[in-house]
Amino acid sequence: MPESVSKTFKQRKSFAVRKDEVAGIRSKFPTKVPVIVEKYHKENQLPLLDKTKFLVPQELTMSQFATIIRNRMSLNSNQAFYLIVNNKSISSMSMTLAEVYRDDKDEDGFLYMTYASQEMFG
Amino acid sequence: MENSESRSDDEHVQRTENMFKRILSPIEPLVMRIQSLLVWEYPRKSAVLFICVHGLFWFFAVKGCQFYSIASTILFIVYLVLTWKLKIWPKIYRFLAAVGCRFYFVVSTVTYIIYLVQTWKHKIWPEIRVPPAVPEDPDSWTPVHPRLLSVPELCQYIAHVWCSCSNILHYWLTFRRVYPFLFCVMSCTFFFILAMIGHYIPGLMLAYIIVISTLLGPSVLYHNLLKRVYLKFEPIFMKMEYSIKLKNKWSFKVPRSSTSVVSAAGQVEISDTDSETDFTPSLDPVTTAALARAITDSEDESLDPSLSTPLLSKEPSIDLEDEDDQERQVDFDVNFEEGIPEMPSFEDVLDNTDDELLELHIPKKRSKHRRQKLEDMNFVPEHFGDTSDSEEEETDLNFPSLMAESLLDSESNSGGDMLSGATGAFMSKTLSSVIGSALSGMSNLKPNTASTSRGDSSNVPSSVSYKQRSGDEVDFHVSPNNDKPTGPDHQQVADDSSDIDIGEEFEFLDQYDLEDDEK
Repeated sequence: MPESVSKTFKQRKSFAVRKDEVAGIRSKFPTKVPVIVEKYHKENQLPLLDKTKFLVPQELTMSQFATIIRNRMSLNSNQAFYLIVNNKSISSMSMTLAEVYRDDKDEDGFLYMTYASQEMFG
Repeated sequence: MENSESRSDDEHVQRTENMFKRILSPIEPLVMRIQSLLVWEYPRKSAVLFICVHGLFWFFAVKGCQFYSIASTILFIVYLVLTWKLKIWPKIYRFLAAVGCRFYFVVSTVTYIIYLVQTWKHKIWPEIRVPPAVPEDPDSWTPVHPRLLSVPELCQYIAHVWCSCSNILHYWLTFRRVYPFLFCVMSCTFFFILAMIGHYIPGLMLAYIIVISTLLGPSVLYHNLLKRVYLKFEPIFMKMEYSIKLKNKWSFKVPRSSTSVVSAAGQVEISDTDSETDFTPSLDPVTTAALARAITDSEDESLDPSLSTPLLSKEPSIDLEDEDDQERQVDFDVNFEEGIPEMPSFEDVLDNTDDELLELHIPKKRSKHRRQKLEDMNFVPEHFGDTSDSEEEETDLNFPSLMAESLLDSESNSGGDMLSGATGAFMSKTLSSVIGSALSGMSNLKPNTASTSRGDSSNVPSSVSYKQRSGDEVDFHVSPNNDKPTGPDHQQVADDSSDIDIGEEFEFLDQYDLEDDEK
């Protein structure tokens, strides 16, 4: 179990499988965005999320999604947390998931996000 | 000690939370679906559920069906029991007899089998199996909802509730051990109350209430129904509140206006000077209502006229008062000649009632009105000359104190010749205020000497004060006909009242005028 978790989602599954999965879920829920949320590999402050694959309503904004993830990890308000989209950018918190998905989705069709903590006063 | 306790509590909560998480995490989509069903996210599905529940209730509640349901349930149970007894149990019994077992053996065997199965399933099989070509998904899709609780949050809440329940139970058990008698009494009371409820409310009704509240409670919370209903009814509540308030105000105002009509204008001025303490409390209902209306954005039009009418209706009432004043002149003369002994009682009534009944509005309006009149007034030289001549003494007495108030006033008063129209207005105003204050002092002194210490003229007869009032009115109206007889009266008053008191009264009047200006 720990081994599978330490691997990223992409490492665990082949490209074809991922693409099939996305096709299946998109046909089943066309209004939802398949998002993979994983911990940043050098992150050691934040707890591990119990789930990886999320089906997010596309009208949700990034800030709402971030709040949901925060609540899921039951973070305190003094713990900083941010999401990196597709391993390269921090998207605007007011963008909806649909916009983020349109701009930053992976070639397999998933939207990959990485969460990390931030040292606020360091 | 407390720290360790809280820590152990936290650990307990954490453990419970993990336990629930383990149970609920695999079925998170189902949990989310149940939640969305309960909060009526998709009304059609929830309606179907609602109807199903009602159908079940109907099935159990209606008598005809009750028979069938009971019969079918009994038949089913009988079938199960017979199957168990005839088919399954003999086999187990034969096996157990062959082994020659005891009860403990059975229990331990069952436990052992369960343990083995679990171990195989979770530990051994994942180790020894051939890893599948496509790695098994560690988790299924997790639906995300902006408002519904996710499983970790749900588990947190459940764990908290669970722990508090177990704490209460623990406390209750401890309580039973320590105070058995008290425990007995309290439990008996509790269950007696429950029995009473059960006796008076039918069981079916109770069950229905419970089920319906579990069905509808989450949706009420989710859609903020209570708040919405309140917001919808808030304007009505506000309207009711204001109407009640205004009704109170009207019922309060009617006697006041009548008394003001009855009472002399001089009395009004007395209240002008005296009612400073009544000033703020009397304004309160209006202010609070207006403020409350300003805070809430409810726009109930029915309020505005009812609020504004008192203010509007005051002007005509004052005009009426003025007419009354004219009449009062006659009345005063008649009264004065008729019954001097009646005066003190009249004054008594006025003094006791006026200061309490006369609210701010009428004095304020009166003073405003007076100012208007003063502006309208043309200066009549002979009139003023008359008064100034007759009041040489008064000015000598009073104006040193008034100097502090306004230089212009004092100058215009001391030198009566160089008076312009405006200064004449000031002058007459000053005089009226002076006389009013003097009258107030006297009238306050007369009925209850202990209550006020304004004037030292306790020996002045009531008739004089009455004439003063009429004289004041004359001054006020600036009607030259009535002017002449007032001269000596003024003098008398000026003699009677002391400088400081008049200064004080003057100051009060000025304040009122200022407040009027601000309004």
